[in-house]
Amino acid sequence: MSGDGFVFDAPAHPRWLPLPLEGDVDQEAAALVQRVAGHSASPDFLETTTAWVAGTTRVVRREVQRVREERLRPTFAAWVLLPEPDLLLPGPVAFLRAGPLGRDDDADAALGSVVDLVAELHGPLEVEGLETASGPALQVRRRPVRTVDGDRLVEEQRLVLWARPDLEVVVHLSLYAVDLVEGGRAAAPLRELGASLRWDVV
Amino acid sequence: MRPAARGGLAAGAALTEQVRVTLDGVVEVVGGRTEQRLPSGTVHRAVLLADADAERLLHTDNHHQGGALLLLDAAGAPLLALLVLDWAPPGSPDLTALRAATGVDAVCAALGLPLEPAEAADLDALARHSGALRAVLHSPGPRPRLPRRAAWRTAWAAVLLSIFTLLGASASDGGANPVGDVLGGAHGGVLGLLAAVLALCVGVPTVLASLALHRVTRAPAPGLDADPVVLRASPATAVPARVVGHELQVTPDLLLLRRYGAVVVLPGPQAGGVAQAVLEPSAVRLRDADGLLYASLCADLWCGSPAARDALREGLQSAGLEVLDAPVDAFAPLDLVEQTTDGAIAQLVGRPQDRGGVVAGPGRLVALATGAAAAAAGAAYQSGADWQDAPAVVLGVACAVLTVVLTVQLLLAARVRRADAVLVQPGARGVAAR
Repeated sequence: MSGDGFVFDAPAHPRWLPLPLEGDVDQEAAALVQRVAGHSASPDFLETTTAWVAGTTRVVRREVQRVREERLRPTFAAWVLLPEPDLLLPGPVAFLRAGPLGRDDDADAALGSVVDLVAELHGPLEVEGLETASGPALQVRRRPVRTVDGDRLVEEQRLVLWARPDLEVVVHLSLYAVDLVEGGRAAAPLRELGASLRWDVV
Repeated sequence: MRPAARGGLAAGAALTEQVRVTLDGVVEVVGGRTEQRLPSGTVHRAVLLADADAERLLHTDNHHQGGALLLLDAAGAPLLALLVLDWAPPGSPDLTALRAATGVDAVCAALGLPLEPAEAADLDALARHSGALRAVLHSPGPRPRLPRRAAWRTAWAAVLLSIFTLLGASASDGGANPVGDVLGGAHGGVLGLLAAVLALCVGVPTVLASLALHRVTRAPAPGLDADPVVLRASPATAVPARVVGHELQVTPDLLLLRRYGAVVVLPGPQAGGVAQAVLEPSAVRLRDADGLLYASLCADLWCGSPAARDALREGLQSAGLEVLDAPVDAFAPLDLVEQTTDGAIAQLVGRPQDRGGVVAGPGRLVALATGAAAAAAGAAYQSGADWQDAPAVVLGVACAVLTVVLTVQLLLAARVRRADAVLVQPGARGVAAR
């Protein structure tokens, strides 16, 4: 798969359902669900599942458009996390994106170009190394705090981030969960997806 | 947070026990056998243990989906542990909804704390101090009179020792032989007395628990205080008598659902809880204004005819609930309790100690233990040493009396079950009453 001089390959994973970012939403959603579950599911189930996949895809596409326009960042792929292998129910979404990086920038600068490092966090920012099919990466967990109508909400963002100043690019696989328990459940699948992802700049 | 559906000795707990957070941020556990108060600022973290970790660290008897909520202090020491399913309404279909419906999310929000998943460092610390963790586990309803596994083992030990005693006594009659030498005489007497003591250890609590259950079941059933609207099951066909007592009481603040003798209290429309009743072809769904499901009622039992359905609709509306009609069922199955009218699955509601059980099962094992021990005590009197005569008489008579009492209790319980299974024709049951 490719876009904007970026190519990538993500092996299939039983917990991740790739969302169609191109083409007619309803047709693509129906085709996707048919491929994944058409052999064993009832027509009612296929219809219901196609509806939520299409709905999620529309939301994701609006988000992709917003990030492209506001932050000038392309999104190359999006996957929705399933609660269990091959259990077609909605969950949080992971995005594969890229942005510019200076030749002299380090990992901290790369991270700072992706997330707001001065935002209020609940607990520390956690960063660990991760070996991936695309070389060494960082595994990041941050818990930003938002105040909404006086209520203090703690959310969770998890990233697998590749800082490549030699290519002048930072690539990141990012997932946002409104719930820390949901974010915790996404940790291992996101790590597995990032570890198996192959990308390159052409 | 209010207890999940409980019956028998725990029905009162379903009505009175709560875990709540005051406006000052104080965590209170009230209305139960113990009360607890965690001052404001004491709780620093709210952590959710996954199922497997909860089972491992808290030694729960059954596999609990939903895990456990832990409230930890600043040093990470557990202050309070709650099994999520112990506080769940009957209808929660998935784990995220379970947290909302049990009130776990509301407790965390009231404390101003996010609910965090337990991580490796948490699990290591909790495992090192698992005794302290189990000490703060609060389960609603009565505590088991004895640890169930220990009670089961004690009962079987009494049976086995009785068998050995009787073998020894029979082998002692006549000439010398190895079995008689080892298990007969004074040795056998000691085994028999020990069997009787062990049998009394499980027999006495069993009888006392059964008597307590008998008192509770003869007392007026617990209900809501504030002049509720009462809606009763109204099947169109004959159903077992045990279904006749199904009842829903509704007040502005609370709902009480009684099925198979088990009671669960749900928040009402003015408490941000159940605000809608959705009438589907197979079910009546009780949910809040945002669609969170609290309970499902079997339509065949609760409104088995069009007239009963209309009466139920009017009753629910008069109770202040919004009633919606749905032409298709949202999902199947219903919550487990109402999948059958024979009550077999209903026995899974609650804990054995709710029904007066000390050992798992209806109590036949305990009766066997006391009966065998009575015989063993008799053998000890016959063939044991002289000093064993007096204790053999006392213990033997006690075991014999317990055996008779337990047998009578078992027979009475069987009679009640047969009566509950008798089919009752549908009649003009009250659907809505004040």
